[in-house]
Amino acid sequence: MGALIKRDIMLAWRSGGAWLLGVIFFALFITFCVIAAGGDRGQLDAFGPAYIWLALLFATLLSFGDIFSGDLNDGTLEQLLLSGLSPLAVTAAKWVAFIVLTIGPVFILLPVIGVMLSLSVPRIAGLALSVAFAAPALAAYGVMAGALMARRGKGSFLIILISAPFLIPVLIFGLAAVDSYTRFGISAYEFRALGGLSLMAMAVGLPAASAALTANIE
Amino acid sequence: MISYLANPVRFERFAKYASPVFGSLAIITLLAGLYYALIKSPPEKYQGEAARIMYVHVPAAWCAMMAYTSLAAASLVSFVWRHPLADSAAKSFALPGAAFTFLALATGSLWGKPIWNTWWEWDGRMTSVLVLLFIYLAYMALWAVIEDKKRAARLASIFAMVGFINIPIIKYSVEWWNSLHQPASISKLAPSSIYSSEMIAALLLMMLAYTCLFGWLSINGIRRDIAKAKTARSTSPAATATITEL
Repeated sequence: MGALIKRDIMLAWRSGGAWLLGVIFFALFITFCVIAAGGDRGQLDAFGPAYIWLALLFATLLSFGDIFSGDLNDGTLEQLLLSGLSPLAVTAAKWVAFIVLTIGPVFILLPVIGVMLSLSVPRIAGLALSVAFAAPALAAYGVMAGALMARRGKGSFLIILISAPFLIPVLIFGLAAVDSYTRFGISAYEFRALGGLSLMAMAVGLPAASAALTANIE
Repeated sequence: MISYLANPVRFERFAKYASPVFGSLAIITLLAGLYYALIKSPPEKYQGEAARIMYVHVPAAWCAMMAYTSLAAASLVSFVWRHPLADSAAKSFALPGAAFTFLALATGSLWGKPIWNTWWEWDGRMTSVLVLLFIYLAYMALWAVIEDKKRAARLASIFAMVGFINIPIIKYSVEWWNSLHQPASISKLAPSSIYSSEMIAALLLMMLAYTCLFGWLSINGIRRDIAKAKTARSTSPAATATITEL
């Protein structure tokens, strides 16, 4: 499993920067939001976290299709499963790789974007924490949707429709957590709710993803 | 009884009689329920005549959740035993379920305008029912998009089981979050100071009517699926060769 994670990261590293496209899209989306809202600095403090969360959501939603489709199309996935690895191990490896490769770079960009949106430091910290608490849930439902739609390839709207219903609670609590971080810090109950959502997503999404992988191979 | 009906031939024999029974029961109870709801029952104590929307709203919401629960149960059967009839059942529950969900949202919105003075409020109950509608749509889209129907059945059943998380969320949303939506107020089905026995009778009749309608639609859906499978088998002709003497 460790080797699988390493392989995914190596592949991304040698892809000539393709793994950075998600982050670039993330930055672009925020730019669009700010321009559409008129770029008024007074409003940015209130709506900035919402833009950032939306950008994160869309950046992840659009990358769900790539999680398995490449490995399924060139036969790697079948080889991996034939080699005796359990589908759950493959799913878990993909889950870790997704967190590292797609959500990880967001943290590097977050302080810069926060400054550009003139957010205060506690709000940026709250944002980073809420994203960190929600990342396992985002990745777990993403891996599930990616496994369900692995044969349909990239860019299908259906993958968004499949994962969106499960991401709505994550979005609700993620944004609520940013707001209450400034008042209650890390002990705000929203962080516990997010953590609970993440654990539930892992418990449900990863087995569902491995079952879907098996169904797609057989 | 379910294992008895798991055979398509036996199911068809059952459906031949069950379908008209459910259909006529749905029409009769609907007419009786509407008579009780619109004419016989008194206006509600606090909300007046506007509360009559309850008689179409509550059964729709109830049926929407029941349909999804049946869908998830059929999906579980399909996932574990790979029974094609369970697939058809789950598939046939989806469209009526989605329609009931849409009805619940639409009638709820019509009810909300006079009582809460808003068509829509983004609170726990309404948002989670909207999510249910999206789950229904995604489920039907999965069936429509995946060409290999055996694989579609597998993948759709996995998705349906995961989507079941939303049902308890809908049920408890009014208790977990402060919401405009009132909690279930008729729980004991006994006359109280607010609800007279005519009102409860009207609600029960309407619930029965919606349930029969749901049964009717899904039985016909399963029948259609069996018929489709039959024609698919009979219309693909085997390769034939005729030898003619020269």
